[in-house]
Amino acid sequence: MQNVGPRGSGQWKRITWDEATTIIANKFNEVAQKYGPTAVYIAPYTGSLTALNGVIGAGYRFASVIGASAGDFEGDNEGDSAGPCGAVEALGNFDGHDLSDLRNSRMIILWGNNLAETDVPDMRFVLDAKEAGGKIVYIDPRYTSTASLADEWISIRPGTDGALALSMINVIISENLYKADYVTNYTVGPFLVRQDTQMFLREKDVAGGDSTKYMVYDSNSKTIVPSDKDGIAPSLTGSYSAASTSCKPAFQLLIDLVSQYPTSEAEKITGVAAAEIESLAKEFATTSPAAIKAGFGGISHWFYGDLTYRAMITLSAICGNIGVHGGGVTIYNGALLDAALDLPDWMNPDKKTYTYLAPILFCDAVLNSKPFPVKAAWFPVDNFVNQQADTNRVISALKACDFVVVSDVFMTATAQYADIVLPVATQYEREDLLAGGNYYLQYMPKIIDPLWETKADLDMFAEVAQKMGQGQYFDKTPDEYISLLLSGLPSGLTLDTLKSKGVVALADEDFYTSSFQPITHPYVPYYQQHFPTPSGRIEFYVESLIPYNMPLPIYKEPIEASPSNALYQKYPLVMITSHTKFRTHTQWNNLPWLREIIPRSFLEIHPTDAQARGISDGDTVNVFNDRGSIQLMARITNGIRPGVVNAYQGDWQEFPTAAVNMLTHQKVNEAQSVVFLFQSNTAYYDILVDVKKS
Amino acid sequence: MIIDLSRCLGCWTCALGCKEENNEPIGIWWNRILTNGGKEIDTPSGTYPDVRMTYLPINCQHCDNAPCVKVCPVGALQKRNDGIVFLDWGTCIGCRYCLVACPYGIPAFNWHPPTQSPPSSQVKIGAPEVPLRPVGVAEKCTFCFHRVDKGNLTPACIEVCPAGARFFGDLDDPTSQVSQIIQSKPTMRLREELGTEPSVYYIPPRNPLKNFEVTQT
Repeated sequence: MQNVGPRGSGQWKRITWDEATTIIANKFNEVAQKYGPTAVYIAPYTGSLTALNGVIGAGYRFASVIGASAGDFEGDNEGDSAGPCGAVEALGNFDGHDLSDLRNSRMIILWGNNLAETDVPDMRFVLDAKEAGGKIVYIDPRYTSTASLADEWISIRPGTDGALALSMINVIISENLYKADYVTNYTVGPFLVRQDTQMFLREKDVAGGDSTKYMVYDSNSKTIVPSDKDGIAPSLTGSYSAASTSCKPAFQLLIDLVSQYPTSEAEKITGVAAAEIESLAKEFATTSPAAIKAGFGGISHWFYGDLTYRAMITLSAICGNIGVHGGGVTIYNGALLDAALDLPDWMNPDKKTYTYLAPILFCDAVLNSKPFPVKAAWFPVDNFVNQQADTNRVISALKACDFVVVSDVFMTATAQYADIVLPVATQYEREDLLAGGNYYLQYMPKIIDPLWETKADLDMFAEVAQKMGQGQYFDKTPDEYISLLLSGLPSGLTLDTLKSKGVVALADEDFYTSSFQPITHPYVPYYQQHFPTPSGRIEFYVESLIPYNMPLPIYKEPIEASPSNALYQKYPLVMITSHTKFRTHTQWNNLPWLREIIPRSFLEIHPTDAQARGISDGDTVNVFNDRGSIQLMARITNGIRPGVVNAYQGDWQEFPTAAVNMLTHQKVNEAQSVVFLFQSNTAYYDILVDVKKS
Repeated sequence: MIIDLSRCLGCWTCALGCKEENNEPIGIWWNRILTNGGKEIDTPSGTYPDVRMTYLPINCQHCDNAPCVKVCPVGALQKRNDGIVFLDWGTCIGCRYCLVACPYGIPAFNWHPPTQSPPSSQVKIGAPEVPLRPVGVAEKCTFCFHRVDKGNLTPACIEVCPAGARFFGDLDDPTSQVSQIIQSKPTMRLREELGTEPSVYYIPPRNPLKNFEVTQT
């Protein structure tokens, strides 16, 4: 369909596929000639985790061959990336435990992770651990389904989880409950850090030459020696002189940092009682193995979520919980699956490659030509208008574009702002490979032919590519492309085997090279205590973050959602926009059966906050800040922390009335760009609002 | 049937599996998840932060001493030999005595021609053996006897539960999984004092609420 009025006016005209793909090819060519090929932006999202038509699908191949810009690969910068970013910094990648490994835990902290609602099939492993005598602690400002099943619910001020983790570390170190051997052997703890440059002290700094070996203080010989020297006893504490400056072991710097967060201080920041922090810390340090399962939303949707996640990893590491069954810090358990597939040949044929542009930077690119101009966009498997932060700014950007294409199964909020809407076949009407979120590959056969005039994403990209003179990159069948993707697997898994089995668990050799063998089951990352970091160890001190004053996992107040923000006087409520079990982001929001259960979007508000505003249960309320205003039904509940309100994100049936992203912002955290392919997270939860009765 | 409330996530998968298997029209649920907590679904009782919540999935209790069978004036409700309370839609005259008699609020009544989503003319939802119910009859959970009678299948709600919280089998067989669970774990039945002898047993939640009243959704 073609919009023949102003963008967003809904004046649709039915056109043929041939007309539509010709218009798209001509417009993309026109924009590319005028502004350069990267002015065309292709944005496949997590609407489908499939390899041919979904988030790692044909959109990237298309972007590569026409030289366009593209994002967001696996949703890495769409609110989910802060945690993974911190993990890459501290551990080298963001690999997680196979969640069935939670069964081996004696203690599980579900940290900002409403697992019973947001990862329904995996909650059974937590319940199994509990039935076997394990303790379940749940940290969340809301009392949820997960809280109802936990042994302990800790209500925390939103966004202060980092301070809680640092305070727990302080308790554990002061009580001498940490595993000093582990810290010495597998973390950067003993490595000396120069006070002047803040860099690690290297052998060349002391002895000249060009050796970049890390240096430690040997308490046997009372000298500073390379960390790999035999028979030494590296010190974790103290202060030493070397290279005309004073140096401290990184662990001493950690001690200096966490000593600023005694439990009494952390109580003031987090709202968690000092005694509770102390008992939690002691229990975590003395229960082995203990796992931390962190949420994407609860941790990642904060501006400084990467710092929080690094603090959590540090907490786990000093207790020796990394790389052991039943331990670890897991945010995501399928990160390495993509690495196993031959994605480069699929997404970058003939080494042609797209230019990466994180979606949070899309509006800047359109409105301010930063970091480069974008003038045309195609959104496949992506309800961008509903899901990107700051809806009003997104709409301005889309209106400022020369040309917008949306391909979708439904006439979504985003499709309303398109020039061309392409109807997409459902997952039952095309062949694909499901590859995301775990360690399994699933073959998705085509059950029926596409209904009416719909097409698979792969086929529509092929048609446009052909009209742009790149048809040679789209001349294969889906079977041939799936075989190409599988050809990267060292186990030699073939399409025929995959088809006959339907679902195949990746073989050990598909994960890692020989140096990381053997793999343990259920899968546990870092089981060999190898860390793909610059030092090969767990890095709670990160050199690349020195320019941002964040080499240590310091605590920072939320960028907006903090009483220390002047805006707090005007908008005194922190608003989080959590996930509901009744949909997956925007998906299933239009299913009548589910809308029977949840007919309307609502705002959870504490009775005290409601009473202060004269709000009764069921009232329609305005939720607003300087960026926008939405209307929701008030649900007064004792299951939410005072000063905090919550509405489920993803409702596009009530767009724009209930579009929570009217209230969110696009503040960019440049420190996160030190990690390859991470530009900045979207801090969806880090916002302030006020509420009044409509 | 045994439902383990210490494992129930309140996720509604059982209810939706039931709705799909039996093609329940809009407005009718043979299986629902009640919140034992605050006034609304998924909200706790108590005063922050001392709050509690548990879930109570509820479907026909298939009572051994079923009030609905006793009051049905036309014999449309029958107790089968295997314990399933069977409602014959062909015989039902729509008097709704069973709705009044059931202490669990289970039977639903088709006041209007059933609305299907998607429209049944487009897509056939549910098992082919389950007929659409006409306007003017009561309907309720059948324990999926169309599946159970095949011998090797359990009701849809049992099969789809992602939490491992639902079990089904023959209580007369002491070696069955359900018999073994009842022998090894404490169980309770709803409103046992009424003498209805329900066939649905519940393993209580780990931290039950003192006041075991439930929220209607």
